[in-house]
Amino acid sequence: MKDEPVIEIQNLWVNYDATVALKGVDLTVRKGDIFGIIGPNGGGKSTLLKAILGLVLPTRGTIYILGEPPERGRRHIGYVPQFASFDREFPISVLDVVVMGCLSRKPRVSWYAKEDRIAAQDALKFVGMLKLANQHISSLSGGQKQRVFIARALASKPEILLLDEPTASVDQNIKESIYDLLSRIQKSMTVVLVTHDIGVMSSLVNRVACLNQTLFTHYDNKLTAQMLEDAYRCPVDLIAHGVPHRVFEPHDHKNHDQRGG
Amino acid sequence: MDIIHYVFFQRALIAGVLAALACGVIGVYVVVRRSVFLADGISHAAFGGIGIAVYLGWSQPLFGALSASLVMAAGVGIAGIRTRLREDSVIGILWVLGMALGFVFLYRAPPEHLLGVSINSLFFGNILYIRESDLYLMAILCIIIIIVAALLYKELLALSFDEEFARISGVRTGMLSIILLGLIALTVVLLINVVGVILVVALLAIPAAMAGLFTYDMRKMMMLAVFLGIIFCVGGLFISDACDLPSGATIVILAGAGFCLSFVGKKVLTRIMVHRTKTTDSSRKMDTS
Repeated sequence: MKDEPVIEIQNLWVNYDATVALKGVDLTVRKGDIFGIIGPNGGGKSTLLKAILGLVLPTRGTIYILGEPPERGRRHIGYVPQFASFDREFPISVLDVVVMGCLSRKPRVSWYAKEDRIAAQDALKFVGMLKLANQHISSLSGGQKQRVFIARALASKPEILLLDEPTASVDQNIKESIYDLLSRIQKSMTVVLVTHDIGVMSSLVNRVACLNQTLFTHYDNKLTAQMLEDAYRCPVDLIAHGVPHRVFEPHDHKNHDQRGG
Repeated sequence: MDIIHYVFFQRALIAGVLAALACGVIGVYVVVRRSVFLADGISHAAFGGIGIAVYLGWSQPLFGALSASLVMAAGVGIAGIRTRLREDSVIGILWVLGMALGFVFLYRAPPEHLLGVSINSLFFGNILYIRESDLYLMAILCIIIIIVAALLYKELLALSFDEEFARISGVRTGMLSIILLGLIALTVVLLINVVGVILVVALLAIPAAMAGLFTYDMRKMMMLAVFLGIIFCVGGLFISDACDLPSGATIVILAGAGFCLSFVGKKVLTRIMVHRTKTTDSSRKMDTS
């Protein structure tokens, strides 16, 4: 079923001690969506991802992933962390990083089997990195590493791919190739990505939301200046040069002035 | 080489090999997780347990070391999960507490319990005085360490490389960290007889760090570290016998020298390679870095 909800979040509140990170977030991601969540730094994007992954407990509200709470439902999620912050000197090959993606479906106290390595090789092939499988992970460039971490998330053949800032800290060429990769992935699974790269939103996603503690959505799923203003709490210019499809609404400055920013 | 026919020397050789096996495997985790300070803390805290065991007149003071290092490992692990204390502060505090307790208990121990106990060998190792019962204990610890490390290999690798990803994949990372700390504690106890509490960290860190110079595959790194550990322990024993030097310290000096030489040797070799291919792009990059 195309419209089946895969992630359902209702009235989610998350507090860190006295600080409120998320205020009453409602979010439904449906099967086949490529859902972009945009918002300022400190707006709670990472907290929302952590809550979906069951790493942060909600203060209030519910999260269901394919009808299950996060601790169980997260096995259906392939997760690509923000600029993989691992130790550069760690002794591990590209293939061994990707095989790790199979960890969630392996029983404890077992070793990776041949089929896990095959799944990892398939994932590496999909992202175009198979020829570097035996390289040390730290010998790769930023964009290559990002592809390897996408391959790790794909190795478990997840229903949902969750990406945290997939295009942060890579240059424009690599961004384009990652967008291209994501659009190929989107054909076979639901994609949720968090970013403050407005370019990715314009060319790729079919549903958008802005997050700044509260989540702002728009009925036709287009990113509007209004939503960005609500989220960023200041006027935002939607400039998208050289992107194939603009989903941005034309916006007129008179409106901004009336609202007074 | 006549010395090899003596039982005490054969025991020392077996002890050296057992130590190398355990420290090759666990030392790699200590090195890649940057927990050398923690391992050093556990080994010093073990001294407290030895002091208490001697005071109480236990026949096997290593059981005291075992208890104390497991307590230290659990303390650091639980503090890391349940409190906001800085880990290195907790390690430093438990480290000195263990040492001070060890001294106080040894000072007050009844004289008859102190027979055959030498502070010197507790600190710097007594591999030539290892008893048969010590060897059995070491063998059991070695088997436990290797079996647990092998069974949990993929979880320990994930925990060490990317803890958040391990958690999302359903690994109970808190529990697993404490298991790893426990394995480090067992290894420390196993090594105390060989090089003493002060030098334990040398055998944990040096073979693994040296192996890390030559491979980026963790399994190969472990095998190479075991091999290097055996070379250092056995080689150090023969050198200490030939030159009439203390065995523990000789093993450590040999290991340290091996590390320095291989590090410098690798640098020199890389230089030569760079010079040979100076015209290529990649070599220019390496030169400037």
